[in-house]
Amino acid sequence: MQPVKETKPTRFGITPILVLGYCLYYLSDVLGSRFETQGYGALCATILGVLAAALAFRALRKGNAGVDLRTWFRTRSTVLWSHSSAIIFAGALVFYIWGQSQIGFLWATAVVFPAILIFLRAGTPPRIILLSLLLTALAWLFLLELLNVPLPRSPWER
Amino acid sequence: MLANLSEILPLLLINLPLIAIGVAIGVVAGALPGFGASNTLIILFPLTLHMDVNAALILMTALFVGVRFGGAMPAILINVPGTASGAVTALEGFPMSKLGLGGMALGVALAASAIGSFASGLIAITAAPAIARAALEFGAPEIFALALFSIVMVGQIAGEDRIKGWFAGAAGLLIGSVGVDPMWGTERGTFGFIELFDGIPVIPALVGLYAVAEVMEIAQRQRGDIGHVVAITKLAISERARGILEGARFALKRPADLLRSTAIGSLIGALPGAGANIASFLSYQQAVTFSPDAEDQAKFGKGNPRGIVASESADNACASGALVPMMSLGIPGSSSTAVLLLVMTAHGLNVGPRLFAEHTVTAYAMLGAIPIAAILLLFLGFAASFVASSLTQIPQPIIAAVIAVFALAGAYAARYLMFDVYLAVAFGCLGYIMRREGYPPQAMLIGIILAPVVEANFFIGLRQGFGSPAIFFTRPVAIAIWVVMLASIVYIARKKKVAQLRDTEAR
Repeated sequence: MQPVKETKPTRFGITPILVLGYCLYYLSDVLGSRFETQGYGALCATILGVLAAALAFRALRKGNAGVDLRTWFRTRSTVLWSHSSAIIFAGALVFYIWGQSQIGFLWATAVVFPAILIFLRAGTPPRIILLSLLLTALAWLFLLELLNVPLPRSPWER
Repeated sequence: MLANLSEILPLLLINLPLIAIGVAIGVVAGALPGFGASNTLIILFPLTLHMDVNAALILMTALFVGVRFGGAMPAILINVPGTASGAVTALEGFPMSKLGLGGMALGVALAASAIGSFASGLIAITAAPAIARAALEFGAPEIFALALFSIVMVGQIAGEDRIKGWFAGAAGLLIGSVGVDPMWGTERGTFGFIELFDGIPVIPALVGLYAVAEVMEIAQRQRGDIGHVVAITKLAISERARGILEGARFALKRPADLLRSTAIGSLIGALPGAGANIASFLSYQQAVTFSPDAEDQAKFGKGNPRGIVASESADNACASGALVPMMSLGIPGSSSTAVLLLVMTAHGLNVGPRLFAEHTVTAYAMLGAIPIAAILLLFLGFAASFVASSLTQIPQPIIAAVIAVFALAGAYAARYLMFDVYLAVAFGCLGYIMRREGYPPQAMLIGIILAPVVEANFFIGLRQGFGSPAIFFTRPVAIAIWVVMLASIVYIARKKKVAQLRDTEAR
């Protein structure tokens, strides 16, 4: 993977686009309902719209940290690539949660600990094996035995 | 109360070991995301039914005190607040940990928590009826104004850019209203997920915006892509102990911050529905406003221990404050006081205006347990901080692995739904993007937490004003809140500008 240069923070960013997109969905959901239901959504949407407009106006005025709209779109794939470690990690967490419902919390955890430790370069193989065993034992003792959290169990334990 | 002092004091002394046990359980429970005061009280509830009523309630009150400090430990050390109000402590505590000052941050939190609890306990004992009367002056328009005040202030101070902060806060207000509309039962913004009909659960949002986003940051750093890998300084045992003591000394040297935050916490705790989140955020904002100089103000968000003093003392004071309306009026101010109300009722107590008259000894023994628990917290909390501070010595990959597994288990434990765990990862991705783009996730979190309070009080206020929004701007207490909010916005903005000018000149 290419080493990433930290670019200037985007002045507008993708956060308002995500939030406003969700806001539109929310408003479409309450359209035609009673005043109170629509009213609160409309109030939030108005505040969000005004603030997003202020951010967009400022971004345009200041040249969005030297990045025009076309360049911004063109660089998205590079930006996504530059955050691949975080994205892979988030994907691994989703896989871990799905794995829990398939093979149970304990086994999924026993797999995910070494995977995370290898991915994050935690040390030599014996160290990773030892740490994984220790952390899995800790998770078992703490969450399943002491706190008795009803986390998913493997099919052969049910 | 004085007439019953001869009964109350021996009762408290006999139950001293129970107070210590309650504090210890509270510290551990508070440190676990998803296992707040309410959950622990519910778990302990069946056990207390076999106990003497006074002993049971003293144990529960001591647990209340311990939980507050417990929530600060993971917030400071691994940026995973155990409770929603611990999110404010994480704002300053985690940057301190990154600088190798985790022990000191724990010491500050410990002393502030103990003093906040001690002072508010004394306030509750002496001024319970007066506080309850003052709290009744706060109607829907005032609570609405107060909640907005918190969101606006957090938006202004949590990040570098106040417009982005306010945007995040407003987004939180929208996301926090997801679910079934409280007035008419209309479903809103749920994407059809039945799990969201009750609203966005706070714990998964909290775990996602803080813990999951943090492990994603660690993953990005550890793979050598951006930023600097946090260097771990090996500290000797004596140095760790010295760090905690230094932190406690720092807090003790800030009596103005402690008193102000305790007063805010006690008053807000007494307001039904307001809760510790508002108290913590508001007193944090006041600490920023009352910065002695621009340099001190510039340190906020980067590891200013004054922020921890403010949030922790207010949070603990709020716990005692919340007991006042619950005991004297029968109105629980938070979910944990609601559980406590249930426990008291199950023990045959008539909670409400006649409680202090009919069960004087029990009522005052409960309040009297607070200052004693605060003193014990100093010792037990020191031991817990000492053990917990060793967490800062653990390498980042191990921390990331532990946070990932335990935080996600915390998200699950709140409602026992796998959906919540997926939700936490979704919030984690959002939190990661927000951090990268300068939108403070703390502002979004306070928006999510307070959205039901804002929405409910907005419409109750409108009904009280027969549809006219003028009611929010004409009542004296509401006017005072708006004026203080505007003055704070202007004052903080001016201070920031002065600091920036000085910075430019210095360069």
